[in-house]
Amino acid sequence: MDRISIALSVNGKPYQLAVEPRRLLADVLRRDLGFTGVHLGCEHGVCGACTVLLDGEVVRSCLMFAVQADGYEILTVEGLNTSGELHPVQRAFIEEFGFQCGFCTPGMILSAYRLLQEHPNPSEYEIRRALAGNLCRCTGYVDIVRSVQRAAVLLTQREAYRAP
Amino acid sequence: MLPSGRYVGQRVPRWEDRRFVEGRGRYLDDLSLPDQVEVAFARSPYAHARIRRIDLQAARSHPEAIGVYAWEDLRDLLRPYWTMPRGPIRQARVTPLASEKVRWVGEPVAVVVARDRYVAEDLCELVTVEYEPLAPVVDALEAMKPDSPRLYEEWPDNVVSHQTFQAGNPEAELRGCAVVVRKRFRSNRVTAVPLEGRGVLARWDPREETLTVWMGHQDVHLARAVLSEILGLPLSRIRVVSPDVGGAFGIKLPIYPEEMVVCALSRLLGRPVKWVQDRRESLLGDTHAREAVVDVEAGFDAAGKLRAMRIHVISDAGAYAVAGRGPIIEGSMLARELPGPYDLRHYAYTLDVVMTNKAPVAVYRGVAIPVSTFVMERVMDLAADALQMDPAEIRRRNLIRTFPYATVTGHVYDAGQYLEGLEKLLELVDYGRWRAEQARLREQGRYLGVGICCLVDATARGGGFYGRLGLKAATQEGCILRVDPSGGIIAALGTTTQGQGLHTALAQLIADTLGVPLERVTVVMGDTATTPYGGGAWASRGAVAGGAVALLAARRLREKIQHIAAHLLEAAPEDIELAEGRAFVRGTTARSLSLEEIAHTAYFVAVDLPARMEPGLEVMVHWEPEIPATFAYTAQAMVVEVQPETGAVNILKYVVVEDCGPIINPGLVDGQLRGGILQGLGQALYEDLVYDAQGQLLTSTLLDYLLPGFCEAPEVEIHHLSTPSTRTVGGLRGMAESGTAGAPAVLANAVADALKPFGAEVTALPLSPARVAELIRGQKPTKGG
Repeated sequence: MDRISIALSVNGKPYQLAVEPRRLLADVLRRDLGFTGVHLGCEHGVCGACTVLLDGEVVRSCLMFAVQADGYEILTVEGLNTSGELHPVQRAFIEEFGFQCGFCTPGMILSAYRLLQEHPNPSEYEIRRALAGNLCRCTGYVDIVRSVQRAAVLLTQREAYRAP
Repeated sequence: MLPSGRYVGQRVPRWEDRRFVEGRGRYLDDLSLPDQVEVAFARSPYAHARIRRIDLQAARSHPEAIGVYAWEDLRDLLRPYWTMPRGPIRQARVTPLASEKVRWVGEPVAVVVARDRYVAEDLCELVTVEYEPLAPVVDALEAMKPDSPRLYEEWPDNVVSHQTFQAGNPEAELRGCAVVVRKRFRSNRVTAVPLEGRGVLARWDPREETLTVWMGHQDVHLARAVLSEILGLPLSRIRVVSPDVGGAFGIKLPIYPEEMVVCALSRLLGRPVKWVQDRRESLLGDTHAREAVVDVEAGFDAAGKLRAMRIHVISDAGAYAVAGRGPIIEGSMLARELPGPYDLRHYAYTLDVVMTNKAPVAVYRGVAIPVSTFVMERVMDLAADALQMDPAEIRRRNLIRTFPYATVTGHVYDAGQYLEGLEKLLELVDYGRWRAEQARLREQGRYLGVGICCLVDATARGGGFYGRLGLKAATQEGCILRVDPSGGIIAALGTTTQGQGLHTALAQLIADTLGVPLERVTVVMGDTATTPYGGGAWASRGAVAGGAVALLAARRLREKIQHIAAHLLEAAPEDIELAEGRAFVRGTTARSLSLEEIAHTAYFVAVDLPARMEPGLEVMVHWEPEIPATFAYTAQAMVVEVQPETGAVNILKYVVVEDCGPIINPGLVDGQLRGGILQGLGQALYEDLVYDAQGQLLTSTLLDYLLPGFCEAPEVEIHHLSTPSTRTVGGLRGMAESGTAGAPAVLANAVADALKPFGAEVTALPLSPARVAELIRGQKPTKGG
């Protein structure tokens, strides 16, 4: 099959590659570029394990062809910790036992990260709604809700610390 | 008892976690090897058909094909197999790729090897199979009829196992009962759906003639044993490694045809071969569970005491037996353990395990207990209704009060606080207040229901149950524990973990026993090359069996450390205390040695050890629980509101009282309970593997097979009792399944209670909105219920 040249920015770094038009964005990120934090749970857009941010918006990378992402900026879970220190959302998931097997976790963290950008202090209802597209089979979700609530607190503290 | 110290009993964050939140976990599909190829399987579109001809020519001649194979091509590399060579079960030979017949939709018929999955799937389209369709047998009751088509033609019928049991004289007792509940219950077919599907990567090393197999698996030692038999390779030539595992819940315990075929292909091609399942393959072909019809006759006296029960269990086992776990486990556990936490002396069961043209059935979290609890707890409520007794009261009168208690089918409950657990539950849920609220709201046309359930779950099964059936599933567990010369501690165990946080729990036990910081303990699991034989992770045995060997090994090692330290410090061994990574002489801080110094002596200056002491600082321990191992108790209460118009069930309150004995890490225990409960609620409310009359699975995507999500997950209040087991090390009881086991029963009872004004009968799962609406359709509510 003929390949098409595309340019992606992933976690702030530019990539040029030639891909088959049918190749999923998830496979390009995982297999061709090595961002294995993108997980594939269902490959039909229901579980949310392959969630990434595309120009800041939450998308399912298993429902997109890589050629559709040409020219976009992509954030995967690997891009959250650039300073060597865990992002507050990542820390919160550890502190609140927000996962067990960890497979859905990258998608959860990215959905939570995006929610908290828009709503720094979300209600429990808003958290559940915003993350409703991410399935978890281990936790019963309650500990994930608490993780997001904890992340909101940690982020607020960080902002307060940064303020002059 | 458990060791006391800085860690045990604390909500210690998990050691495993950092890599997961950074996306640096290494699950099966994250592994790849140079020169690796991938496979896809051509699968049967028919539930029941004879294979006339398989034409691989078109696929084989495609320039991108690396290999295309059917059973005939692999028969020198793979042996047909059966599971449970012994026991009350008929035999059927199974071939990893279908040979003469297909018996379920999705059964692998041929395999294609290509550079990646995209191409392999393309080439599967070129595989042509000529089938002669046969009449499918989709329903277990139909399958038992004498004129039903047979899955295995050499058998006289489709019943793979027929068993009977009787204790006391239930027939005579039933005649004297004030109330006899006679009902047929049905439980839905579900599957575990771990978010990470199954997969396997196999590498044959032609130089060493060894096979290394990576797969997310619950029991690497069992996997190796099964592969050794099927591949005809000595055990010593096979290494099985389980990397990070994205959930398993029982379905990653058998060895499936795909895994056998991939291993054979790696040997045939001399290069690494990988297969990663997609979600459709998972729903079609991961082992299914729970589908059963249970006919019950249960007799109670006028005081509400359960006098006698007779049941007939018809367990739908699907089309064949998976390797590593057989088709009779679910049905026989269901029949044997149905009486649960209640005193019963007159009991008889008949069990028929029936083959149908559906995916195979094996184990899923809780195994039979979600169904047995659903049936038993519905029976309790129906009897209470008939006797006009409160559901809580009838349970009070029947719960076992004196321990140890020998059940009618031969289990021994070692110790428990069953009644106390129920009373605590009623208090926590504020039972009386909800009953009043229910009556008040009914007057307004709102339908609240209050449900209760009690159950015991047999955990960490021991005593060689599986071994006697001819399966190589170990009920013992092993641990090698070593203090290395730098003072670091490595524990290698035969068990595995799929996200339970077992690394951390075991490290907590070891760190406190040896008086060292937690960070110093490394736990290694899931690799047959580096771990001792053990039974893996199933039946909630991680903490009970894994914890037992970790504790025993740590205690033995502590003793040795104390002896060496005593010798070097010229003190008595009983005066040596271990803390903060050092050995102190009791009552003084001046005289002490670090663990490094002691280890240095043990490895490098053995002449300084006490006379006749073995050098080194390493122990190995194996331990097996007695039969029956131990039993966890749970009581659950739920308040729901049912919308009669839509059939929707809204959970208003959910309280769980559980008893897993002493707790190593409350964060892990609560997580296991909540997760288990939600899986149970999935079965109770939404999940249902639906086959049509032709045996086609209609629910083969997650759009059709509905899992509970954030918006469906209730808050669950958890309260712990702690009754140490008298039969395990440290008194531990397993608990990872009791949530799953109770949720369907408590929800069914709550919904049935809500629907009482409609006279609706709840005897089947799931209670999906459509089903609930159907139950009340056309029924006018009666006032007051």
